[in-house]
Amino acid sequence: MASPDALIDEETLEPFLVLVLLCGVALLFSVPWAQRVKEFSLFSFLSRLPIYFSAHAFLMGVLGLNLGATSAARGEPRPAAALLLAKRVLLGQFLTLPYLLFARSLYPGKEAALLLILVYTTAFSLACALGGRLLEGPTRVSSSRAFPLKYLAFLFYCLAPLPALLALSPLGLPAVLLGTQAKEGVLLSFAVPTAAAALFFLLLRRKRGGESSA
Amino acid sequence: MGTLERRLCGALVGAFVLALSGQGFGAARLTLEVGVAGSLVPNTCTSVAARISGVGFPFAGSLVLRQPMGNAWRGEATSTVRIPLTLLGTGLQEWAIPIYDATRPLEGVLLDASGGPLASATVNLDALRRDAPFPLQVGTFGQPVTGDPAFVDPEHLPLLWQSYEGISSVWLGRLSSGLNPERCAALARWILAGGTLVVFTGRDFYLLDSPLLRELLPIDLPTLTEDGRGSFYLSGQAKSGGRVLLRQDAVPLLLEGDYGAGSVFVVTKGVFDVDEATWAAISSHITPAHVLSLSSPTKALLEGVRLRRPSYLVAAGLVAASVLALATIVLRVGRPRRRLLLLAITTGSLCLASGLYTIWAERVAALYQYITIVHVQDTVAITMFDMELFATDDRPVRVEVRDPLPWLEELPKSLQVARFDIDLDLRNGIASLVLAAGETRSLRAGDRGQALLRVDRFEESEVRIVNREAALGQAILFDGGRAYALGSIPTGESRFRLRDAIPAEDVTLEKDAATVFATIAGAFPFQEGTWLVASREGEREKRYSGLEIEVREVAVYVVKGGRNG
Repeated sequence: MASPDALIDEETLEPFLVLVLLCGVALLFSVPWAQRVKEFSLFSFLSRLPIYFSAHAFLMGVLGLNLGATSAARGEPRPAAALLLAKRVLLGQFLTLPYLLFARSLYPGKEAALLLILVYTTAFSLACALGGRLLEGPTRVSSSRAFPLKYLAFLFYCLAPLPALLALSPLGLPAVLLGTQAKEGVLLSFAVPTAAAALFFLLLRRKRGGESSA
Repeated sequence: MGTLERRLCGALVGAFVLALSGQGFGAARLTLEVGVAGSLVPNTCTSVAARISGVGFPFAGSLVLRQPMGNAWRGEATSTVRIPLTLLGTGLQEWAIPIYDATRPLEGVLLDASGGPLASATVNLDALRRDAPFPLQVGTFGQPVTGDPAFVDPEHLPLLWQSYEGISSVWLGRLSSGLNPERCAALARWILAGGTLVVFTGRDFYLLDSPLLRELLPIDLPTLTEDGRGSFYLSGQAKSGGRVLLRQDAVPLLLEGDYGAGSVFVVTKGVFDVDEATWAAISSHITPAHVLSLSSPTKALLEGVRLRRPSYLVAAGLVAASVLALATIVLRVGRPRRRLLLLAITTGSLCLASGLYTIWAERVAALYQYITIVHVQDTVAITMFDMELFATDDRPVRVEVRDPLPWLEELPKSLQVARFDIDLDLRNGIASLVLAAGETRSLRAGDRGQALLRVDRFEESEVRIVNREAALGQAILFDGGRAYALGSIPTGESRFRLRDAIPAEDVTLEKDAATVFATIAGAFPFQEGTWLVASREGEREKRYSGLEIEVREVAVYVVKGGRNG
């Protein structure tokens, strides 16, 4: 039976399982397929992309959204919800930590970039979780509208910056951090999810105040 | 102050201002001369000579040669060569430098020790441009050879053999002052690499006679003989492998001999003793230079290199274990605390296993570097290098090259497909290039070699080898057309007894050296005299500018032996 304050149980297993499984698939795609140098060119388009880290950032965002929705559906009390969501996001990171360590051998000498990606994905996932929790709350938007709305906003945030400012997109930031291109917009890319997480946290507290007074 | 004093003061102030502006006495001056006999072929190494004056001697600084290449349609790139300078006085300094594009000028900047510019010079290369290798006539001739030749005085021949790259054949006519030994050695090195030399002798022979030239000629004990009509021809004993190509009145007129991978043709008569018909007959026998190229075997060897990467099986196992552990623990363990504890233990164990694996596993290398080296040694020696680079990472590459050589980059027709900028720092032996993941670069260079090995063939089927290099992995000795496997050759002196010759079809080196040997074997006359062919292979990993680089190297030594006893 699901415990209301459990970090992970049968109800919340699915988002974590999706994260671990799909990140694992991405990890397999990240290992160069070619055996020999002459075979490399066939797959170079894949090797140019930090597939694992882009997938990890994207899936951590999805995990956050799912955790937010589950938290709202379970009616977890708001004072504890934010902290519980933060712990679940950290659990998600912990469960994929073996992959990150494995990915070190794919990007030798770039440990600092890997650490930055870890920090970024935590902030991004937390912002998604708190945003999802906020949006799916009973007094705001109906669940049928909230679902497409949050995913549209999520996809827009992931895809829209790609042509203009790669670093701002969770899909593009790993490429910027691990690659050679100018690190334009990296500070902004960290500031946006951090600021969003802080804002959503404050809004959750305000809602809690509103609900208490009502 | 009188008028004279005022004038004197004015002159002194003027001289001081002029000196400060660097326009007056003592201003540095740089003059560049590019090409051999005022000609060059793009995408080859050629001679670049610099004359520096107006600097304080001894002078320490550097010369930067910058050459833009391409255009908006073809794409653009820049070649930069940084040459360290230590000068004791004014004089001509000469280097062999790659020239890529004759449609764009070459700019030279003289820098002082702190990197401040002192003088600059620009050379318009378009006027020097040739589209194909050309014959070079040295000295005085009655007529030009076919193929749009260039003419040069012997004292203006290149000092470095690499500068001959754009030349198809060198013809020595009447040289009133002979050949400078250093320039003669450079010419001999080029022939060793596959060059072609044509020497007119006859009565002019003694003008150019030297010990090194005698080594090149296919005639032993050359003497002048009169033909009975007042004309002189060179006669002597044909060396082993020497071939008579033309005769005139039963007297050999044109002989050909091998020197390393190249050919030396001797016309036994003087350049002014040959009539037009004979000249045409001689010209028809001359084969153009075919300098050894290591590009194709190096490319093949690089393509065959196994990529370093972590194991797929381990990655799949890690994913499977993570998914199974998560699902099993969450579904099977009821108590939340115990569930979390078990998840922490299993994930922690997986982290430990993954971390340990990445310490021992093969890490993805950002750059693969394959270098082939061929060292050819006869009376003189050369070393030829070919370097192929392959990147799996988009970061710019700074390749530490072992020898500070002017590496020539092989360029495609279109420069739009990648960034082909190359920066050579000859002081520190660093080549800086930009490669994106999946791109390759091909570079080649040549150097004057050292006498690394000495091979002496004795009677009683014995051979003595003195090896001044590191131990060589495997060796074959060719002696009088037969081949003997010698095995490995240690450093220092060693003696081998030649017992059972190996069949012709088994004559090869092992592993990667076999590919290099197969490419160069046909260029050398192994069926004549004594030759040692040996090889050394190695691979190493290095980190440079945060990049994991895998370096493989194969060196093949081809050494002409001598006969003693």
